[in-house]
Amino acid sequence: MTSPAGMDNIKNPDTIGPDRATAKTGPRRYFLPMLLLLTLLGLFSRQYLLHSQPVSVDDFSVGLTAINYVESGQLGPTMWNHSNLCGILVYGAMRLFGTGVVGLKGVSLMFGLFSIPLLGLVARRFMSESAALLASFLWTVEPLAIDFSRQAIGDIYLAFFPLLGIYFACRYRESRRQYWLLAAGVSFGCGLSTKWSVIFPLAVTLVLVARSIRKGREESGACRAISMVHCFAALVLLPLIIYLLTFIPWFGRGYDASEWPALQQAMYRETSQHTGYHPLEQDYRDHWAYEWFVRPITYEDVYANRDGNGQEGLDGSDGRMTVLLAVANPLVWLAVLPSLLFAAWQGIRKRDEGLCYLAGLFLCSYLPLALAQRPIWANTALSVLPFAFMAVAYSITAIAGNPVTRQRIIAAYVVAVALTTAPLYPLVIGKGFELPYLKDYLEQNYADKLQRMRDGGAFPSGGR
Amino acid sequence: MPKITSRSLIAVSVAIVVAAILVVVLLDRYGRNARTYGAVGAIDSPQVVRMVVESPLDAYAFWKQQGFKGRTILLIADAWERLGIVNQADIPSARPYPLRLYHIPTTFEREKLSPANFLYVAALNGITRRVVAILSQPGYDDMAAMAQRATEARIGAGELYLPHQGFPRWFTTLARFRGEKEPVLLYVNASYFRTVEPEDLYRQLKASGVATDAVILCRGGEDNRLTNLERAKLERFARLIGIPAAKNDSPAAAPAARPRQ
Repeated sequence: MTSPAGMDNIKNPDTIGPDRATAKTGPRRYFLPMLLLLTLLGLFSRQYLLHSQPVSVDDFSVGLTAINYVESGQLGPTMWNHSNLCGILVYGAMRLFGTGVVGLKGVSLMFGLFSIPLLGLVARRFMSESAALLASFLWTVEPLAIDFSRQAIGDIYLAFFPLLGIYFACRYRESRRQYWLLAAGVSFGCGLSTKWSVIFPLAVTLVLVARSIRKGREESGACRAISMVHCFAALVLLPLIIYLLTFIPWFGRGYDASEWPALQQAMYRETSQHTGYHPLEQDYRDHWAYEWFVRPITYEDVYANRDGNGQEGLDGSDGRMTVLLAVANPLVWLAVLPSLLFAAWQGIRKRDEGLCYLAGLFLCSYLPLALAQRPIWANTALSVLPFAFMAVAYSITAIAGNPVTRQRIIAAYVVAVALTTAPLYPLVIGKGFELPYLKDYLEQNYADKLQRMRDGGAFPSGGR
Repeated sequence: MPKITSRSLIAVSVAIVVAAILVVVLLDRYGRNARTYGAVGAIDSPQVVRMVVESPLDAYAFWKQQGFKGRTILLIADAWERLGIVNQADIPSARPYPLRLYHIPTTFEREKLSPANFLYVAALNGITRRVVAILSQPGYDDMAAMAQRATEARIGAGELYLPHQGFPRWFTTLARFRGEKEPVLLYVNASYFRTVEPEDLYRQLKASGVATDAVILCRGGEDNRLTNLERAKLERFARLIGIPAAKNDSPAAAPAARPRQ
């Protein structure tokens, strides 16, 4: 299997960087085993004690929303303004596995897990295998990715489906077998049916594929034109079909096609002006996308559960507090923008289409969020982080030309990221209160917050 | 690299285009076929079910019993009843696995249905897919003021579109009402006659050409904001559309609705 980077390198030896020569001969023996190892690490971190992680208000709402949508075609109660593939998949999982942890969170867990090797496989097409493995490692230990792989809500889909679509599009670009392109269209369609933000990587991928067709070796202009039409059908119409099909339950309520645009407009208006479910001035969570990569940020879910003794109520006043706190690792997140600039510069300087594509994916996915006038919480960063981490991994592995020095830099970085991330793990899985060094911090910072949210009628909570 | 055959690319592209068109057409048909109607006519046609009920809950029970689905409800009332916080889905504070999830529409119907939220519950349960509300001028002005703060509202000349979580709701006044393209479930609350005479309503509705298969006139039940005068006017309106005076029909009297072909 030869990567596009490898193919480019073969065609244009000038573009071969010191660490990219590996791509010429297919995957090294260690690449796939290492990827498997990272996936196993990811499996552990994403499912460890998941059954004992208290069910949040959002988790419960996702279950309600799934039933409400599939059985009645009714949008909501949670995130009614987003298309509802998540509800459909969770509903299917609950029908198969019941309303336990597998039924409720199994889909997120699966996508969160599969996104680890997928990120590595995609990254390998733009950069060296060591860089791809590093990117995959960063994603494996990323608190936000762990957090949302353990939640029922569908934000992790925003990493998985675009990566899957990109992977298939890259395979198409290499082989020109059209089933790869059709698979890419279906993947992007599933992404669009989760949140509209997937349109940005889809658009960049469309440009990449169209460009490769234009530069391709088809016999005639007519063949290229046909390939272009085919590309449009696969990457525009096919996702649209998938998107439309996820509205079958809604149409079942009696709506006809002429009423569908009004729904989309209502969804758009809400999405573009959404400010959360309680007053923004009382929302102390990080909620501006332009801050993500310039200062340390967090994403938090704070909620209370009573023990399952049969008593039910709405106030949760004597319930056990849970704080799921995903702290962005500054060693990674603060390296994103410089790394991206470096990757883009390298891409332009070396005329490396893969790096330019990567920069395009990041910029087109991130800038609309960063420039948005409405608050955007850090959970949405999951749609950007895979590209950000690829850029970081590329830069770290490209710092030094000397292989030995490069290996040392990579090793030092991996150790530093692992050491700084490890203490954050109990926070992500909601076990901070059980550790002395975190308990005091959480009680000081979050007991009041929970009370304020409760007093402010903020249940069910969430700002998505 | 395999040789690309233009023929297969064309075939797949055409198939995708055809599939896209088919999906739109089939979804459209699927939606339209999900609607159920009774015998349709003008508001005073003999074949149309017309009745006076005491409470909005009776109206809901009738629609439910008739099996109406996916319909437009034409609401005529003095003002719009806003939904209270009680209409949020309950999240229990104890949430052990396996989760005790529930079906919101049937739970609301069983536990929360009230004169204030009967339209909302009708929407949840699929009886209605959109509501058009003809309000008095003060009632409309009140909604228009509220819409100024809403993210999804579109305000036109005497017409207001204010969906609730994607559910289409139109608000207007009698003077601006231009009829509906499809047969409606007509619901008239006695409160509307606080500011409007029955003859004016009858004349305007007839002029709009609105078609219906069920007209329900509601006396307002326990709503103590309503006066006998308004209820008397409702009776006058009932006589105008051919309902004998002071006759409270049983919801069971009408034939069941059927899908419209």
